[in-house]
Amino acid sequence: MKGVVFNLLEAVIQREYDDDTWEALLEQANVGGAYTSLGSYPDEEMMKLVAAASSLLKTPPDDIVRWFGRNALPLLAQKHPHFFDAHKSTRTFLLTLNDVIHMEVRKLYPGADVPVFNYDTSSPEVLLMEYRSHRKLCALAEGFIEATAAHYGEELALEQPECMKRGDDKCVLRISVKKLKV
Amino acid sequence: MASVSDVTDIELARLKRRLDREQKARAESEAIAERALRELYKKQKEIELLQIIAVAANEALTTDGAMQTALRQVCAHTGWPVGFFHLKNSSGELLPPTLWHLDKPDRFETFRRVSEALRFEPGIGLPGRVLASRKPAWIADVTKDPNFPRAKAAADIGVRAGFGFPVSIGTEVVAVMEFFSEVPVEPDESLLEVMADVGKQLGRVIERKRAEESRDEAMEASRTKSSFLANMSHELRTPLNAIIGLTELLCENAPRFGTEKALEPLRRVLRAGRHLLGLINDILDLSKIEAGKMDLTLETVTIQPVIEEVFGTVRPLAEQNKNELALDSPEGIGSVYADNMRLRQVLLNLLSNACKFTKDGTVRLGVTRVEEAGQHWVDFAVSDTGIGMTEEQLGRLFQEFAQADASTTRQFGGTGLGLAISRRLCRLMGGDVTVTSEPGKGSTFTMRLPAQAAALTSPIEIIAAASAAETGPAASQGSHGTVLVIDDDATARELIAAHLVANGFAVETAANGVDGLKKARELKPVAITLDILMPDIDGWTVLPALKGDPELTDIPVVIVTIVDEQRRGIALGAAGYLTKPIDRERLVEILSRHRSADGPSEVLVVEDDEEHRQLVRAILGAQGWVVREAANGRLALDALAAKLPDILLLDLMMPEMDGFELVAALQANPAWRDIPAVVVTALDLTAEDHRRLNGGVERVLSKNSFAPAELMARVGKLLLEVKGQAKR
Repeated sequence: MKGVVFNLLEAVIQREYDDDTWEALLEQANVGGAYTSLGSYPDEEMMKLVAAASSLLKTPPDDIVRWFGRNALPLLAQKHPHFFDAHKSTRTFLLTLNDVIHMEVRKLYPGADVPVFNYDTSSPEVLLMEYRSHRKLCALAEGFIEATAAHYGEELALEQPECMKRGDDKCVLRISVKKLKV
Repeated sequence: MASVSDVTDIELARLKRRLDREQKARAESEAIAERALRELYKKQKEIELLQIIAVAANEALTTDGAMQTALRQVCAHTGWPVGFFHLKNSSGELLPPTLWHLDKPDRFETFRRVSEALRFEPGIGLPGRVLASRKPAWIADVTKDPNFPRAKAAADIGVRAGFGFPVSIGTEVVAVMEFFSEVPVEPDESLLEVMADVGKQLGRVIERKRAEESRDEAMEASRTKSSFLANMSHELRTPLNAIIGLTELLCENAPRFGTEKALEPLRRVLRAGRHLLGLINDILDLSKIEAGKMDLTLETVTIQPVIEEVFGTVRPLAEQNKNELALDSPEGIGSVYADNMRLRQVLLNLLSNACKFTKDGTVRLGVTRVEEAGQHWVDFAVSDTGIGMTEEQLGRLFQEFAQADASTTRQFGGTGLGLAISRRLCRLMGGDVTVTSEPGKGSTFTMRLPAQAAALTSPIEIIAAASAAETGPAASQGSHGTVLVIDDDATARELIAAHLVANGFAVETAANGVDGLKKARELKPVAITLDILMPDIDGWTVLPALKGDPELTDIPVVIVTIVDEQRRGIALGAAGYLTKPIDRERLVEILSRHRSADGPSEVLVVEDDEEHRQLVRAILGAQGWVVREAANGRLALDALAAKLPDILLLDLMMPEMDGFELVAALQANPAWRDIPAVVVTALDLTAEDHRRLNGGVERVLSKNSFAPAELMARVGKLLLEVKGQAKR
């Protein structure tokens, strides 16, 4: 996993908690903790950090991951606003993940192992996104999607009718949004 | 206010850990950046290498040149000292390397000898592996590799790592390149990828060379075919000419020979012979066109005389089928830009076809000037009221050996080549032949040829004018008179002027026709040299203007030109020109011009073919000529030495001394130079042949047929002669 994800986690922890919490997590997870954005680190280190946060914050690991996604997205939106400004809704933004966002990720971070989503856009209201990855980080995707809906000021209904964690061969994210009345 | 003591040990320890982490992360990111830069630099170098090799592959004049560049560049790129190249032969075996790059030739001598001595079967050694897999291969240390026959030599000398890659055209490996270093090196996949690309680039060089070789072979084959055809046609025509000529004699002198009873079969022999001759001529024409060997002399041809002559020829054919020949050609139809002989040939073909396929009808030739898209054309439309053709027949019409249907040949004769040749000839002359037809109603064939705006007089007339000018008296301005040089080419002006000045003439020059005419009127020079091809007004226009001016008409004009030497060469170099089979009327007519006024005239027939000599003797003897014979050029010289004839009838292809050599010998001897020579040949003369015949007689010089020094000498000599005449 690319160092940039660890950097994001550190930034989120420091912003939502404090420096000490990050220190404590590193200590509990027993990892080196020196992450540079361009470097690559074992996925295992991320899992250890998630496990440490889960026990420290007394929260299930998936919730930690979802929370991380939800809080990481605003940081990304801040850093790369043009990817977000080009859209007005969650749905069109999500459809650019494979061809635009992850394409850019690969350019900046050679060797980045980003997931490829399959979309089902047959319904104008409901977007189905298929996610397959040995990392099984569908919760991270959920967190990102929740924060994206918030970014565009939309009310989100998100379900996972299929999930690898429940024994399915893939995760399916069922997404529908509507604009919040201001 | 916080003080240092406020900072607890715990905080300090935490900060220290954090600092450590930051430092470590920074060191790591720098290492990543450095690796990326190194990678980038390497890629850049690889791209440069590929570019250099691509350029060498495209621009190198020889395959070896491109390969040598590649060996040198790859060695420079890798820093490896040894590189060489095996070609693969047509049976798939790798040949010993012939091209080497060695940084230290002495040091690697043994390795080189071993590499040259070994044969690498597919799969064996480094090159064998590349050949079998068609992919690059790398050996980190050849001395430890079980499949490296040269391991011992390598170990002795200190050759360690090696890689090889295929030079390929598509998927075919055509050569293998090998490189070696003095130290073991682990495989570098990205370098091998680049080398695979290098191999493809170099493959193109070999591909191109193969294409060139096969093109050269094809051209050589085509040359061989052309010369075979030329020789063959000569071999075929010589006996055929004898058959036709002798049969004619038998027919015409039937009472004398007692062959009246055989007249009908003899006439059939004659018809068959002429048909065969036509076929041979057509096939030769077609193969010349296909070989790109058809020499056309494009010139401005006055239309009216051509039509009259062609009508004269075709009239008997029209009468055979009771056809009326009609002509729609406006007065002063002017001229067309074409090859005179080929124009006649195509017109004759179209008209005789029309006569052949029409009975009791009308064959009409309509000549019109047409302007289309700014181009000026002359259309010759031959329409008949004959059997016509269907769409399907029209489609096959211009193909070789395709007549409207198979029964046509039986019914109407002909070779089926005429139209194909006509169309190709017209296209070569910048025009075309098209056809419209309706079955049962008739057909119209239209030959379209480019017109030329300026109505020029024919070249033969110009020569006459030029010759007349030279013999006329010149207005002398003293021993060192002024010569006016009219030529648009500055170099030509300088050359001619330099020579004239060296011979005591004053020289004035004019760079174009208008200026030339103006200066001629001002200067009244003793002579004028005139170029033909000039912008504004050309030499053909300047000449009549000079001749038309009473004050200038006596000034001799020497034409110095590169224009159109072929036809003129015939007209000038020989007193006449005939092709076999001899048109007896033409022969008699040409010779009659050279009859001496008093006593019997004598002709020397120089010809190696006994039958042909007999034929000529029979024809000319009947006309009251005294005929002497010589079987080759050498015998002819003996005959000339014994007695001068009034005229020479000359074959070109003869053993011992051929016609060309004889003409040269005639020109070299002042006593023989003025004997008119008439060339009789079955040979198709090339421009070069014409020039060889064109010796000495001409007053028109050709810039491109003489070396500059010779040209100068001739111009000077002519002018001195002209001056000499003027003084006398």
